[in-house]
Amino acid sequence: MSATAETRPYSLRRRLMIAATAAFAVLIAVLSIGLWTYARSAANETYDLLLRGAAISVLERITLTPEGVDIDLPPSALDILALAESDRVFYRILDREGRTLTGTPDLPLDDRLGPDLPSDEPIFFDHAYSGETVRFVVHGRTLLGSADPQWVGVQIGQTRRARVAMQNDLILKGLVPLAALSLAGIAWARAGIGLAMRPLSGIERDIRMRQPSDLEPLRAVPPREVESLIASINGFMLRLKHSKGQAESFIADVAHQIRTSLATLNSQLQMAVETDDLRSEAAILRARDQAARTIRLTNQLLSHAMVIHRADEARLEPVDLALLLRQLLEEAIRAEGAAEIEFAVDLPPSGEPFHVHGDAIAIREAMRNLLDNAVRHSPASGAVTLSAAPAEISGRAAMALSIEDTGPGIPADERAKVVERFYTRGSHGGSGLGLSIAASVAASHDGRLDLGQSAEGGLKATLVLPIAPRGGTLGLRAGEPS
Amino acid sequence: MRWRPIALFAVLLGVGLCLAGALFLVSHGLESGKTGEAGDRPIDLSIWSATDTVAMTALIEAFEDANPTIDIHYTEFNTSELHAAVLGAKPDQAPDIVISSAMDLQVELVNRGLALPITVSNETPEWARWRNELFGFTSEPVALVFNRAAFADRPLPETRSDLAGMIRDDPAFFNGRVGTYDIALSGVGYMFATQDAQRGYQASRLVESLGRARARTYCCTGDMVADVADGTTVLAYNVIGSYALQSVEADERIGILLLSDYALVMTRSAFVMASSDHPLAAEGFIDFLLSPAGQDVIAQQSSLFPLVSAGAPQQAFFGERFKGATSLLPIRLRPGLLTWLDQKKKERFLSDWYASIDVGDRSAP
Repeated sequence: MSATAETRPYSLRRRLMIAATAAFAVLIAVLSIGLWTYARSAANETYDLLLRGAAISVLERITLTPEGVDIDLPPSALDILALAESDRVFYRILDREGRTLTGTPDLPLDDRLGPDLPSDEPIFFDHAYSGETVRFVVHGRTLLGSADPQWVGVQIGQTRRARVAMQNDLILKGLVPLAALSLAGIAWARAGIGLAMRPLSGIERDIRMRQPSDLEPLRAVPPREVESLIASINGFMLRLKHSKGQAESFIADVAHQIRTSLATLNSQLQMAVETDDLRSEAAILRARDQAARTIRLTNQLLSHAMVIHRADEARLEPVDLALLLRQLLEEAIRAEGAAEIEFAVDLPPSGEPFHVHGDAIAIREAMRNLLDNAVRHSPASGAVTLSAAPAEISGRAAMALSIEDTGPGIPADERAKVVERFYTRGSHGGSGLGLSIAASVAASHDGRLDLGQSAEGGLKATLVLPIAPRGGTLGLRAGEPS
Repeated sequence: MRWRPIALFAVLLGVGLCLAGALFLVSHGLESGKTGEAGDRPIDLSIWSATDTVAMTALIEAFEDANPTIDIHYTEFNTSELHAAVLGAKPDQAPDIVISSAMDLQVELVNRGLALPITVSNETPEWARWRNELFGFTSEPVALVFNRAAFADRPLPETRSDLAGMIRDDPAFFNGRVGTYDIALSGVGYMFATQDAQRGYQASRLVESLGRARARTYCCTGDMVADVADGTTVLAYNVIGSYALQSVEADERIGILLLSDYALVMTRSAFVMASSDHPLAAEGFIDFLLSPAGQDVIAQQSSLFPLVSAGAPQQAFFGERFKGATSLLPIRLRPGLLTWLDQKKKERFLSDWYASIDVGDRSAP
């Protein structure tokens, strides 16, 4: 079988038709067996009456006389059997010991007849004789006379031709309507399947005719059986629409932020060009700062995009938090403007599990942003404390990574807003992306970002990450509505 | 693709029908393979027959003319010898075709399963065929032959009752001058007598009358007719109409009539032996016997009467040839005839018959 055939979608109609056909075939097979049994017994019963009638008419003419058994075979006996026009007939009359008194002596007896020939009840059996299967009856009668009562039996056989003809006739008359019924049933099933599938083709047409940008829910009223499918499609379209909206607003935000930043840079350069030499140096320095901010903004945008992208793609692996914090710290100390700041690290005692299952790059990005925020918002001689401690999230073991600063902190009523993209506070505000990136990473790791107040009145940002996340990949889906 | 389930069903149905068909065939006994006869090699077809050779000669010649590759070997028996010979024959000696006028013995042989089912192309009356195996090819009424001079001034009997009454009323005239078959000697005579007996009371009354008139008994139709012709007897009861008619047409002293209450009709019958080496040739011969050509040969060139007379119903055919209008009672080629072959039945019937008819110096067996 070729690869294309293997991947071709299966047909519901065909499967249903095959199932219906198989069901009818089984039905016909079962009914045929029943019909065959019925036809055979009906044919036997009918023609057994002839046999029995013939046997009775023979027995009637057997009498016990002083000279012995007197047999006067009535012509009617064989004439009765001749009603089955094409059947050969055999007969004999026998005594208790099975000796033939008259007739064909070599007719076979059935095993069921014991050594003592039977009672007065007729016994019917089939036996092969003279090249055909022959239906026999053995019917006996006890003759009363002056001497001892004496049993005589008559054995009459008839070939099965009329029986078989009747049986076949009955089977045929039963099977033909049955077959017709089955064909009609299959035709109905076919039509029914077509009818049942019609809403689907309506839905298919609806989707096919749409503009690419049209993500409105399907308007079709689906049958109950496919309702959940349609609901899923509609849900998916809704998410797609939402995601598309988010992407569009993100792009708009990004364009807006970069334009603003570049416009500022441009105006400062303009000023530097236009003003006199004394002030131009200061203007150029401002322009350089603005360019640095623009670069930082761009970096953070990239970082944010990367975090969102990695949430879909990254494989999870054990992340050594100690190493991660140490590297962060080294970076922070070397960074410009952090020379005056005092860094402290508070790690749990060695031996405690000190790692989480996650995406190292995303976690580092989140922590770097938090640390960056802490450094920027701390006063010149402030202090920043990094700490890690075991925690719990939704009943699962987790690690809490905290960064505390001695800056102004964030009022409780604004903490929910600062994690939104491009939300900035006051003149010290950054790009408005740092906390948003941290929050995204937390969400993608099934963790959370807590914002609180530090002991020194500054901000305490805590990234709580479960030690072993649920799924194989990170949980966040791009733009999933929360 | 869309039709595949229907096709599947059709296949299933087809298989089912084939099975049913096979069942049908098996249950009907598969036609034994009739092998085609080999080309031009002459075929020796052996026929054992108990019927008049002269009558058959024309038929055989006509068949051989039409089928030059077939050579017929015809062996004649009397009916009881034929029956015994067929039963005793070894398969390699057995004939291909058995023909006999003894309907009961033919039915007996076929009932034993010795015959081969064959297909014939002409429809013949249903009473004269059995199981597609045994085929009657003539229809010959049982008649009464009378001496014209003896009945010149007296009425002819019209019914069996009439005849019995006449014999009773005029014993002097009929005494010793009535002929009929000796049913112990003649199988055909026995069959006619038993068929008469089966028809009822009038027949046994007639037998009693014949006995009282000291009827003469004969082995054969020919002797009976000869005695009527020379006036030894005045009438002969139950003669084979076809043979008798031949004599009557040649001899003005005698006449022939069918009694009007009923006239038995017998048929000569043929079957192909199941052991035949040439079933196709044998089938062809029987087909020829029943064909218009064969029936025409029987009508024109033999003393026998055809089973199917061209263009005229059988009643009319007989009406042209016999005095008296009658209802024809064909003796059916059916197992009912076997009743009278039963040993006990036959002994009883013969002893009753001999008790009625005094056969002179013959004593009842």
